[in-house]
Amino acid sequence: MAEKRNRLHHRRDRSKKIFFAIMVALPLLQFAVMYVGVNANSFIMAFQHYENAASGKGFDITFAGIDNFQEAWTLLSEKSYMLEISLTGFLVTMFISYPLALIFSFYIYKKYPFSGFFKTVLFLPQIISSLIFSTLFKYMVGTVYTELTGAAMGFLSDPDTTFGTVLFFNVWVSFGINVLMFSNAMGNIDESVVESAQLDGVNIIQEFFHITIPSAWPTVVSCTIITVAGIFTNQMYLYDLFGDGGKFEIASIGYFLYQKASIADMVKTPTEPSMGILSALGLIFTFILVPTSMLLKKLLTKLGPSVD
Amino acid sequence: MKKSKNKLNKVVVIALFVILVVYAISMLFPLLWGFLTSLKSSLDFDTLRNVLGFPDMEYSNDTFFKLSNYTSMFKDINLSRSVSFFAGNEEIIHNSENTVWTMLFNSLFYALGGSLVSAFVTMCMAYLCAKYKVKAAKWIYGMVIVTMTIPTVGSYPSTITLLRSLNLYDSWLGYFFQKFHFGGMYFLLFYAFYETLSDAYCEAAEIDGASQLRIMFSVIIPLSMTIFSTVTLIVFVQLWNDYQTPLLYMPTKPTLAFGIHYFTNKTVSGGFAERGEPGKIALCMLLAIPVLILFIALKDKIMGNITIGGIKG
Amino acid sequence: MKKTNKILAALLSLTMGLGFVGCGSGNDASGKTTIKVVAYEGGYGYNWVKESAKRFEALNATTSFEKGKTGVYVDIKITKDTDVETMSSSAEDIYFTNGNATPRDYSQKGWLVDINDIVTEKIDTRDGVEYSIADKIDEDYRVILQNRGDGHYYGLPYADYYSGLTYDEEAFTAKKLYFAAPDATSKAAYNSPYGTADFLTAENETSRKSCGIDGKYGTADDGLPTSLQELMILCAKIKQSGYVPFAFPGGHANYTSLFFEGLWASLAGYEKIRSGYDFTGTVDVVEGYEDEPLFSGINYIRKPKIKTETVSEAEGYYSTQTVERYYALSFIQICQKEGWFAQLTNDTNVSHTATMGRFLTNGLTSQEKVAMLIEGSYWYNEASDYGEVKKYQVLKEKQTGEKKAERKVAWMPLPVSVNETVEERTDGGRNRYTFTQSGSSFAFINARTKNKGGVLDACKAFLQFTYTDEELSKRVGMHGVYCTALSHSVAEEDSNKLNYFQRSVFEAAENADLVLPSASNETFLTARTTLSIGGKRYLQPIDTDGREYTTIISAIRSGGLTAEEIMNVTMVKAADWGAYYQG
Repeated sequence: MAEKRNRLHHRRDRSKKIFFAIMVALPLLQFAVMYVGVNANSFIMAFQHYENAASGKGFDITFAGIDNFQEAWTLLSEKSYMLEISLTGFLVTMFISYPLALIFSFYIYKKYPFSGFFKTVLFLPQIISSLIFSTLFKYMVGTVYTELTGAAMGFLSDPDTTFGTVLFFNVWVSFGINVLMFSNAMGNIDESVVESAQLDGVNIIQEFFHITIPSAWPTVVSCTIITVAGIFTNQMYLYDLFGDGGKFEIASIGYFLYQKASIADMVKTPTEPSMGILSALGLIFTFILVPTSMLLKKLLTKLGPSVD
Repeated sequence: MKKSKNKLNKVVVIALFVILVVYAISMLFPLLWGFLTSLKSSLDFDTLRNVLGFPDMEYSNDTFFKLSNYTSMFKDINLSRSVSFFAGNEEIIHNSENTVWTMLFNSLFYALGGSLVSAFVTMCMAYLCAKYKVKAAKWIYGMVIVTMTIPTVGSYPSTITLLRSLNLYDSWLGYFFQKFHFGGMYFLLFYAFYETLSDAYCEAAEIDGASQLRIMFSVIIPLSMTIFSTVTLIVFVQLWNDYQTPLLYMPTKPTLAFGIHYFTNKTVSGGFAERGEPGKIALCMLLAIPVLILFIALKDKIMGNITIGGIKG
Repeated sequence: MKKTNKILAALLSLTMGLGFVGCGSGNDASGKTTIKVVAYEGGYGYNWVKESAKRFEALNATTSFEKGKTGVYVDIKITKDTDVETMSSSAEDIYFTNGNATPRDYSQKGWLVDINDIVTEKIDTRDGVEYSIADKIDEDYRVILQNRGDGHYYGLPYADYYSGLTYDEEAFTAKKLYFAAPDATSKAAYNSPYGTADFLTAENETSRKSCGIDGKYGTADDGLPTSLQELMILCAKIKQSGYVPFAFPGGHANYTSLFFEGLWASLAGYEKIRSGYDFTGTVDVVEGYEDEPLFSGINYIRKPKIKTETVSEAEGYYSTQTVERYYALSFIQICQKEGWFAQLTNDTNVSHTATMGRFLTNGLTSQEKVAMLIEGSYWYNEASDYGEVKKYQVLKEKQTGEKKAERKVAWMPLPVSVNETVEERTDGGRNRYTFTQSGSSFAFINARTKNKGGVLDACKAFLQFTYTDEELSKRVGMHGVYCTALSHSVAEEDSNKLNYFQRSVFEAAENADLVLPSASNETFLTARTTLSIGGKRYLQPIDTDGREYTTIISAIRSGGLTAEEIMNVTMVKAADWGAYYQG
């Protein structure tokens, strides 16, 4: 009898595995073609050195070992200001955007006055194209502001306030999806716990820190991981705010990479990195970020508050 | 004791209310200003620099009373797009003439089709990885995380070459092929959902003798409808506003978002372009209105129950 | 679930249906050989392609390039996205581009057709001598059109635009901003912190404008400043008259580079600038700075210590340290500090067309009035295309009743010295201006066209046709823009079509030596986009912290860098020349 059941289980397991294999085949094929296939060349380029062939046709491709990586590392260390900018953007997200989103989510979860209306307003930047918001924002802090106050220049043009304004914009449009997820996580809180806490004389602030946040903590951790993963690709809306002309003096790494990639060539020039060097730079980021994200996730989950 | 607690609570709630009101004003004022600007003529706004005031009746008569910036959109915009490329050795030529109506339809098809396909594929992959105790599942999950960290540089020319050689460039089939992917934040979202979903559902169906396929379609998918529709709606909005992908991969099938990007950045000459900044802002308003209506109507659906808490592994 | 299936099925069928929309086009191409042309939609014009195409089609109405087909149809696509980088899988045949890599580089990738045959074939006769297209091309420019290996031509030069200033003639006349000749009777001395000069108060038989940079009276540049000091005095007077001296688009600050390049070239002169390309000759380099000011009235620009050095390819770095570049940088810094840039240059929402509009409507609105516009020499074409000229005419008519007014704005040659006024030439000749070519545009044929049989012959024939003297002349007549690096004359019937501004550019260009971004040595060719006068090295300073600035003006405004500091970080020191030298 047990043997029969085992055989049944075994067959079921096998059929499960076959089903899995069949179902993931197509998406994996798409992934292999559209991601691996397309990017394989740029990954390989990170290890190659291109020179114009003297014959006039094609390139002399040689194995570059870690040369491109060394040059990419030099580039990164020369541009440490970009690292600072990217990290500042990250810290602003973590310590301004997320806390504010949690507070707003708390208001909505508690269904305080007009929460339905505020929910809509907070989600607006998610619905309306960033193109529109950045255009309107540029007018508000620029032309409209100078017309109203007679100031010489707007916040984006004044060198003292440019970066701060960029950060402000990033926070201003960030709430949408964060508030959505946080308020839903909060919605899963058992009401009886809240009621008994309130009966015990807990005030709103204590409730927020001891009950609400712990429930939303797993969501916060996941959002953090996604943000960490995107540190080096986050363009911080610089393209939307400053357009094609570029604004390298306050470039984040993601923006810098994006701009350089659009003009990079196979062969290195005295001032421009080649495609190979940019690819190597991208891979360096991956080597740094993947373990960092994993580590951070373990750390945050362990050290985070729990509902108990 | 209770009195002071109540007072504290009240103060906190009022403070939050004020902050949110300020935020709401900061959101709504620019939109209102944008709408008012779209009712001015280029002479009024760009040349005479009437930035803050009401439309000047001498110069903005048509744009205000007859909404000519908006009507001009439908009348004057005729985007001629063409592309010709080689698929292997075969020469393929596509041409299209696009009015705002065409672009609106393209946007709808693009956003609806794309969101359904990518949400569906992502959902299925997430379910398979979460519920099937196969080693490959862990690898796929890891791959998702890794791909989120790699900044891929210079993939555009390679992608174009690949799509063209397969004759998937500038085609709806090619577009859906690109959308047949999984990964990113929504994979993690579905994954978390399936992880917390009780195994009891599947087990019960298995005992009843259902095949794996049957279980997936008759049991799991219905259970996922809420989260699926939420994700679809969010992705729909994102695709509605996306101008980059149509610009790069679907040149003769421009969506409205692409049209706006085209007119705001490429300063083209002719009919509509002479409407200047107010014309561009009017186009932006046109892009925003359908999704705004959709959002307000389906607000509760979108703000449904989704969370990405509790990711393990 | 069934519903989902139905939806999916419906979507799929819709896909199939839509897949057939817009495939192929049957127009008047039937029975004819079709050639596909892509032309960049830019200020230097594209309508000329359509006109040339019509003439070519008429000329070849009975020619058979392919078996079974008679005549030619030129399918033209005018676009901003010329997609040159995806050429290798594109079915477009001929490209007229903007700002891309050179035919030298593209042919290296195997993307272009060898057009040596049509370029070296004699197609025109001038004064009894036969000319091919190659004969017309500037010698220095040829190498970037040729392949590294076989030395054949793979592309042709295309459009041309100069960097510099446009001035409002109407304002200059109204506000008496022209310098007076030494012997003028109606003049008034103007005192400014930067010096004193005589400005003309009335123009008549006894009172004329100064001779200008060309050193000859009675030419278009009369009364215009010839030295930086004169330009500064002029700016002071402009401000006093209620105008602001300079404007560039706030949303495109990189345009200030146009001014900088033009100024540097004018101050140095053709030979000295070419030293930085050919690595020959002598230059004056900055060795250090004195503790006295360079200009009177300006205490923050120091006088440089100058040393003359000989340039060679191995010691080419001297050409990156030249004093004229320092002068040009100093002037930009002065403009910023003295408040000579218009308010709109601080507003990032102001586009280049809006800036043109502002310049054109000086005095017709309550907005700031601008005396000189920093733009490329093609800008008036763009202003027309985007309705700015029309708006000016509407306002002008409303206020003065004048219909379809022609705006009198003209090209201004730039100063040639720091503080020496140019005097009349006694030999009756004219001093030549120095212009720089700022663009990098080419025409070439896609390598894929080789597989199209007779179509390739038709393409070559068309390309050659557009570079005949007659067609080149007509091109100028349509857009007022020369084909770069090509010398040819312009028929009177074509030059008569030019509008006021275009004519001023045209006439100034006839008296100018043009610095082209090309040289035959490997050192320059390898770092062409870096070391040319409009190159990244000079226009996008990277300061000592590694911070990159997108433009010189943002280095000055955002970074607070001075001309000295920019000079220091953008010059190549002897120790670093190794990265450039290809010897």
